[in-house]
Amino acid sequence: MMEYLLQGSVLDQALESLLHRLRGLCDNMEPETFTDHELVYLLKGQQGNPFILRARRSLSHPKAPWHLRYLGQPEVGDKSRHALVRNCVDVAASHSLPDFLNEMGFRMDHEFVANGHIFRKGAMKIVVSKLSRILVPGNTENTERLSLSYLVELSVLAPAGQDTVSEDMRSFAEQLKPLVHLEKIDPSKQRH
Amino acid sequence: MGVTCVCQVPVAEGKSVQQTVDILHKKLEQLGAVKQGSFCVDCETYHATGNVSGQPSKLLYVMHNSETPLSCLALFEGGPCLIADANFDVLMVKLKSHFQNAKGHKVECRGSRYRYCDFLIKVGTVTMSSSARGISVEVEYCPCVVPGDCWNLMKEFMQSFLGPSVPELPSVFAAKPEGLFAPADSVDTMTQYLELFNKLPTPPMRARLPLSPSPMRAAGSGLGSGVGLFNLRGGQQPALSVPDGWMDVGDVLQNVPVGAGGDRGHG
Repeated sequence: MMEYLLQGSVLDQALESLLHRLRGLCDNMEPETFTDHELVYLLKGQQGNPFILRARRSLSHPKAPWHLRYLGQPEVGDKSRHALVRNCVDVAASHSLPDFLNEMGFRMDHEFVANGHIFRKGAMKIVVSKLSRILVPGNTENTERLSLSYLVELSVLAPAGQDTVSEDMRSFAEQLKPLVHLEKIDPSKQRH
Repeated sequence: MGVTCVCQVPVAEGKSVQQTVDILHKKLEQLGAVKQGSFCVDCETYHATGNVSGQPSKLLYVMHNSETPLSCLALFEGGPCLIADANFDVLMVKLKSHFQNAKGHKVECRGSRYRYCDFLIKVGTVTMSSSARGISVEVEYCPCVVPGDCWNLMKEFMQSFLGPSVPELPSVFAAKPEGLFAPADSVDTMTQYLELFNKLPTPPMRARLPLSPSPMRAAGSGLGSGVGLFNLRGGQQPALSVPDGWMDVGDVLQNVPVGAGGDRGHG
């Protein structure tokens, strides 16, 4: 499975207008909010870059399974492709996931809390989230907002080779301008 | 899922693995059990690469059960276990530079499922590298999840077709903090399968050179533990461990018989 991704951000003051427009453009459903706790694990190998896994659980639905996600390197290819494309493996897992990852040799690199809204339009998923830093490891009550803005992500999960997906995403992103500019942001260029 | 007991049944004296399985099927049918399809339980072994030398490599077992086709169970022996969906196998492929799949050590247990009133009985042939290693019987008492409440009933039922091969109470139940009164779950069943797979003898082709003569197993003595015969690294090791630097001598030892019956596992 491949994840096609476009990202952008809006300042807190612009959130309501964006949500209003998204409610109009997206599928008709009850507005869905979420509060998730994500932990990022690294496995340092003998060579090369560490292997990264993201483990996410819902704080608003504590009994729901954990969601483990592997994201590959962005596909280098067609520069004219409108969205970032990367390999994606999603695994639902039981609550023993953190202990199990530690036993496998993974070590937690960082964790954060994300809360916000989620919208859908067909296969497209639009997530508007506020990220917060966790001050005391493991304590999700005590958090501090990372910025004065919301992260906006437009993503689609599709099999490889479906380039029409990024076209559809681009035309949807056009409809959100000028409230938010969604673009292809290569995470490897953001590395510290 | 009810309380489940998984046990090994020795090959009958003078018979092959397949013949013993057929005898068990006949006994179940005489009791009145009805065949309801087939089942498969398999176990793949991965070992962590890149460990500090001198420390034994951690073994990760990934198991599947046809009763729960969308799930898989990953566990470290004596360590934490994880229930995940089928995509976990895809993730293990991505992790292949960190966890190597010991492909020759995939163990499968396949056979028929029988239903008798509230019991579900599965008689399987355990195979590794396409050769039969033993026979497993799984008995599940569906209405009850508490081992302490139904073990005596299960034991009595098993005696009616297993005769003297009835097992003792599985150690997974006694080992829990609340003892026999903790509810049983699918992890307990799979742990029992893993213990059974680990008890089976290491196939001769995995022995370290120079070889000690591979003893013929006495007919009807059951398939005892292979651990002491092929001393893998000194001390107790699960039969499925894959030490570094082993030479696979499978090409040399094509015709070593498995057990007294000389059954090569294809029935």
